Amino acid sequence: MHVIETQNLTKSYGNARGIVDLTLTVEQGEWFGFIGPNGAGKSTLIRTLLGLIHPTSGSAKVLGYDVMSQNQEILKRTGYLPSEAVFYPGMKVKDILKLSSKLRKTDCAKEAQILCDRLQLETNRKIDELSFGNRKKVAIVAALQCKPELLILDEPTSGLDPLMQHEFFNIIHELNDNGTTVFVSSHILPEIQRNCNRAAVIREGRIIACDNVDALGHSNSKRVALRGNVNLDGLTGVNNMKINGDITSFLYTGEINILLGRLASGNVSELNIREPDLEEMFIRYYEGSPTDQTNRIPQAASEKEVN
Amino acid sequence: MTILSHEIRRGTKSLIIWTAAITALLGMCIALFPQMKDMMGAMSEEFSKMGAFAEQFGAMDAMMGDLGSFYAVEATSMLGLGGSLFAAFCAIDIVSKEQHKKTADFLLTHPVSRTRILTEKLISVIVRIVLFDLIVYGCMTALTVAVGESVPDNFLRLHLVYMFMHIEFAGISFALSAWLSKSGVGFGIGLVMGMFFLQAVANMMDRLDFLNYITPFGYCKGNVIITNGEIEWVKILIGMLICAAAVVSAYIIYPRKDIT
Repeated sequence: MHVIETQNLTKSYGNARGIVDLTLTVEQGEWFGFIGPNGAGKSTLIRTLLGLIHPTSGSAKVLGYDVMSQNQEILKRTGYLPSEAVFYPGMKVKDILKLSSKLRKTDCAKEAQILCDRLQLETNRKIDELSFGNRKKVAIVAALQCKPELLILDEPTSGLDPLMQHEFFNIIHELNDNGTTVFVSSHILPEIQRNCNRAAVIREGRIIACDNVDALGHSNSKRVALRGNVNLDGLTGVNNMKINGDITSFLYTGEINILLGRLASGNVSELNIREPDLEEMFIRYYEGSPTDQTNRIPQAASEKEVN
Repeated sequence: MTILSHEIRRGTKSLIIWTAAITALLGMCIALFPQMKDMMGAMSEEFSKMGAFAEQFGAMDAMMGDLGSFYAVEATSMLGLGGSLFAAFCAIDIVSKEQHKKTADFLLTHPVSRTRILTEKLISVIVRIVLFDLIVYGCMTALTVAVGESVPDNFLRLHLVYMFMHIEFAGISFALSAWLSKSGVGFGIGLVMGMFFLQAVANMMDRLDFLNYITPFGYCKGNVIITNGEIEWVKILIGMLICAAAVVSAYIIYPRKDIT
């Protein structure tokens, strides 16, 4: 079943662009990453899926329900973690969590307590006294306590310390293992690379790539790093060269044998050749105009996306 | 009714402060009345021998001579203006605060329809206003008895008419709140003060009397109500229709609004 399904979804704010012709599917049980810089349209898509804003054209379904006409059915089954956790001042953490479960007409007290213990969240403290990170924890518990079928996480780890991030991902992994679909918007690429099955890259409101995370990071190029002296002059396929002391690093898209020949003729003490990480790919996707980028997406990826 | 109880709890502090302030101001008038009445009586004797001036003074004496008339004058500013500002403050931010204080991302992502949110918030505003008016009325009645005066005949009628005005201001402010994404406190104050001055202008010139059918202050003529119990139902009906139209517009606009 498609848990999220959008067809040519467009949202514009007057003359300003939000998202353009966005077609996307997320399957049940997936952990799907949504990558893009600020203002690319990530939040616009999330807010449309949650019914906070209304699409200009196109359609969107979440858990099989239409985002416009069956919004309540979607919200019953969806947990949302906003990037900025804001609550009613003066209320205690436990009151916020209780309010959230009452609005869902479900008693989630037991699950809330387990989550609060795991995230080391004191429920007797007032919201006003909490740091940004602790308020984020309240939002996490509020989003997860009623065991939703779909989790929509917007910049989930901002404000959390590394230990808490680790525990947070443990919790999400457990939920995902039990069938919860996770849709996460982030620009922290290692997070996406580590956890997601698939991801989409959005730029200026349009999806420019969508594929398995491994495939997104995969390309003909290799990241080469070496210590020593090698003459690379005239070698074709060398990009993004960085020299730091006796360490040279570059992206290589040429013939491996030619590279190895050059390296052998030089004086190399250490060598590392690896796939470029998602971050490097991400920067590549964002170079040039959106049209150029579309041409640079691996064919399989773009076909999969459009379908 | 989760949102209703949540809103009532959050509004309790301002309800207490406003009710206490208005009660204290009106209460002071009632508490001072016996002393003022004696003073007026003594002065009245002195001025009775002064011809035309005495006639003028006589009119003033009549106004101040009984608690009902005196209270009707004072109530215009305190219960009228003060109570209306409270009503506007109760409603003007009740919906928009979720957006400008950024709690909409919490509330509106729970399975509660926007129509239900509006309904429960509207009820919470009405509950607060009715409580405010009931408490003020109860306290004023008790205080009148306590200072040894008899409760004026149309005291309840006077308070009832003012409550209609408070509800009308709340209804219009509620609609503004559903339309706006930012805080509308300025609009709330402007609305009440604007209507107050509209009534003042209407009373200055006969040909502008029609304005009294627009402003809620037009049907809140304390002296007339206290003196002969007359309530201008037509003007109240017009006011309630304006209020209902405003509330309906909130129900049309808010569910379609983009919460950015």
